[in-house]
Amino acid sequence: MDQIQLYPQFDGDSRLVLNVRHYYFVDTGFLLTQVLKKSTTLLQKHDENELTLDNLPIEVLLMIFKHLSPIKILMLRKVCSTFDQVSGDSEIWREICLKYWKIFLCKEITYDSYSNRIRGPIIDEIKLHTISSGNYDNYEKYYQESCNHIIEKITNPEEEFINKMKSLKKALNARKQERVRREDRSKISTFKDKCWSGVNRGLIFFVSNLPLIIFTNNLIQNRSFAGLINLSSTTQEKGYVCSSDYICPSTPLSHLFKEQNGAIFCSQFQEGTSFSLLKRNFSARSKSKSKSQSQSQRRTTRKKTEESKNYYEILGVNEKASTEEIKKAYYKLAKKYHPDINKESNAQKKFTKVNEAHETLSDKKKRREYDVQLHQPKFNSRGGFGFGQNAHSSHGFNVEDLFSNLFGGGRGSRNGGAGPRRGSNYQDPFASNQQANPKARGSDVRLRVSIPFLDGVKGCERKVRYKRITACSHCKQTGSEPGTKISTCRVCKGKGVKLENSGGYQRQVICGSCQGNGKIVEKKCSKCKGRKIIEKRKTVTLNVTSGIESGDILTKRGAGNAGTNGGKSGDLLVEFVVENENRFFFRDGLDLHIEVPITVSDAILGGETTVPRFEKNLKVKIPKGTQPNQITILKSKGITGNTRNLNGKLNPKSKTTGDYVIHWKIVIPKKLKNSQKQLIQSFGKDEKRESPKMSNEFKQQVFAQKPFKK
Amino acid sequence: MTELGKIKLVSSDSQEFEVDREVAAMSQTIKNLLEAIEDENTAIPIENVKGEILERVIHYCEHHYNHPSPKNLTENENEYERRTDDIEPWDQTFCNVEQPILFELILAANYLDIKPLLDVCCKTVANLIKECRSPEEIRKRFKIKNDFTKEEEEEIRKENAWCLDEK
Repeated sequence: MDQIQLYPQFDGDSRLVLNVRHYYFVDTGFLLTQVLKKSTTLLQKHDENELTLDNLPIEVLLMIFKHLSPIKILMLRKVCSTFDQVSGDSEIWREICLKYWKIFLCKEITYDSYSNRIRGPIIDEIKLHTISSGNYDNYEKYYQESCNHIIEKITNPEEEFINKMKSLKKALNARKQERVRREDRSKISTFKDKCWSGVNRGLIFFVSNLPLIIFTNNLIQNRSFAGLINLSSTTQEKGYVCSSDYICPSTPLSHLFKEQNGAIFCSQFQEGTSFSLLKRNFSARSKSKSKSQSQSQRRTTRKKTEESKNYYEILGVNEKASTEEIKKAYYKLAKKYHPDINKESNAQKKFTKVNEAHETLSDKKKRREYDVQLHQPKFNSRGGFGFGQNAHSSHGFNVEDLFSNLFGGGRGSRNGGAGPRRGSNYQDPFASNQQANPKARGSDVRLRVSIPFLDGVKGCERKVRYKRITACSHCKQTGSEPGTKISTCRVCKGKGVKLENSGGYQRQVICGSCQGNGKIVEKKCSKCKGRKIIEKRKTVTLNVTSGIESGDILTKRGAGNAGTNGGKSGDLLVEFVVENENRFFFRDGLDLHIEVPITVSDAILGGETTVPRFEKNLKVKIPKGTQPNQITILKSKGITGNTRNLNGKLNPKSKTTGDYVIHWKIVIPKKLKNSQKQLIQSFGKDEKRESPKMSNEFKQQVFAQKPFKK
Repeated sequence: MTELGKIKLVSSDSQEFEVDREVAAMSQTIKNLLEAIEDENTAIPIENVKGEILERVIHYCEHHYNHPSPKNLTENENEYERRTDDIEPWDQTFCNVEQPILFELILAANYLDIKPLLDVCCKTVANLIKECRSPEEIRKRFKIKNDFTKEEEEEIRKENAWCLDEK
């Protein structure tokens, strides 16, 4: 194990100590340019006033720049002011670094107040140190020193470097193959050599055999660095630095990284997690440390139980003592501390304690329970759970278990199976936090579709196009880009929920680091952006039955929004708005109405006329002496449609036909020919002029009231 | 709802092109437009693209519609290095054009949202940049005027001194 001390830029005070197995110094820029081969040369002639590279919009330039290494971009900055602007923006620079090198930066790239420019990726914590110490004076000195140092060290950097690179590549390949075979890992010792290069200094080191490059800045011996680069993300592995809030100068890297299945994981610590906690987590995980940890834990447990009463110790017996031994010890102590015999002030207290201890330990069942409690440090330290009297506690002192015992598994377990809840009045105080990822049915999609009159009468097929939320097919509902790794959340171990101590009891809360998913997705699905669902257009053909009315709703099962976490899809509900009128017809439910104009002579003499009815015209007799607004009803010649239940809903099974109602509309001519006029006049002479008959009753009603006369 | 048919595209200099609907749908912009427009017969105006360029773009789309590339684009993005040497031979010859045309192709691809074309063009330009060893070379090749003052130039040189070899 080598120890590397990394110093932040411009600052000699704070440092980061890395415990590293092997390390290299490499030219990161050269490394990348070596890998990227030249393509065919395109030599071109130019004309004036043509579109040139610097005229392209910034977004396009960025797209081009993303293919370039940061080193090349720094070169581009010198070309012209446009490029300087584009690449000088800290956001963009960051993006390029992230995309290209996958530098796992801590929060941000430094914006250096010294020169008002971004200077390169620097770990945040270090940056803060730099700023707080405000020690920029030594910058020039450091820079000079480092240059001198490097010039001293390197005699022939190019050649040496290329050789080293070759060996590095070989070794990397060997490592890859090796990982596939999952064979002996010890072969990697070929990396022991150190390699120097003067140009773009980098430092490769291995944490649990995974190469990481530290891209160095001002290199003074092994000091100073700019960021961490992962070399091996071509494979499924990942290595990155955690939020640097938790890197303090003395943090060994082993506290930040963890190896799992050949990949390095770095805890994604939540904001606000204290470093000490983190440390404990790690030490608990590393096997060698966990032993000592648990031992010390037990020791403290013992101590605490001593303070609060350990019944075995009160009675002065072994934990494995038989009931008889306990009895003997009890009698002995009871005699000794009996308040009648012993006049000491605390004798009474001790006597009660001894009694209590005996009561518990003499009963086999109670003793077993007590033993369990004794080895549950959490509850011991709380000491509030009433050792003698807890009637419901069984073995395994988890609050959840306890509650499930109490309420018959009423609290829906994480597996999703909720048992019957006893006592409906009981409001589970934990209910809101319980299931991190409930199965949920998708919501219904509601549409309103307007339908023309004739389609409503005759029935039709109608295509409906709508947007619905469906499961993302690109990521198969995992939320992760296909081919990238999904890891189990380390904080909650894939459960999605974790237990949190708050005050006196444990609480189940949704795990914050994975948002209750239990899984941490390396790269979110590019299509649905990790949401697992995606909005898609869908076309559905609906069979609209004849006789449909406004407000009727057709349901298409399962065509609505997709459910979450395996829930069923919702339905598609289509509400229809049907036109109620046509040029000829209007309708009232299944009855079809039509107004038919007829002549006066037809009305008087009767006759026959054709009346339109959809495709086929009907011949209808006009009755003699038809009065205005008189109707003729043709039974069962109206609209055929489904019958309705009492609540107005369609009954799809039975059908019925409404009536066809003809409203006669007598058209009285306004203009007459002379001959017609004479005819009508002669007709009028014979007509009786009947004034409306006034019934006596009506007369009385009208004339009887004389309110103003007395 | 996808009906095989032809649609009309009109370039900025009002040249008309008839394209297969499916081919045109390689452009996300046109695809979105087609979804919005129900009427098949309307000519779609592509206002930002010249006829000469549009012709090339359509040529590209037709070729790639008939010869779909086996590589999945999203896979490439996951790679550690953004490779620029994986351009297919056909694309290479396609991009082997004069710089202004290449840039206009980029603009058109950007406007029409044709990702593979944009990618290929950007890679080609990136390759061109990579071949250059110094800022001066880049200026020469891309005919870019140096608009820095001496002081500015010096400043940038200083800033980046930490990572560049200035021998």
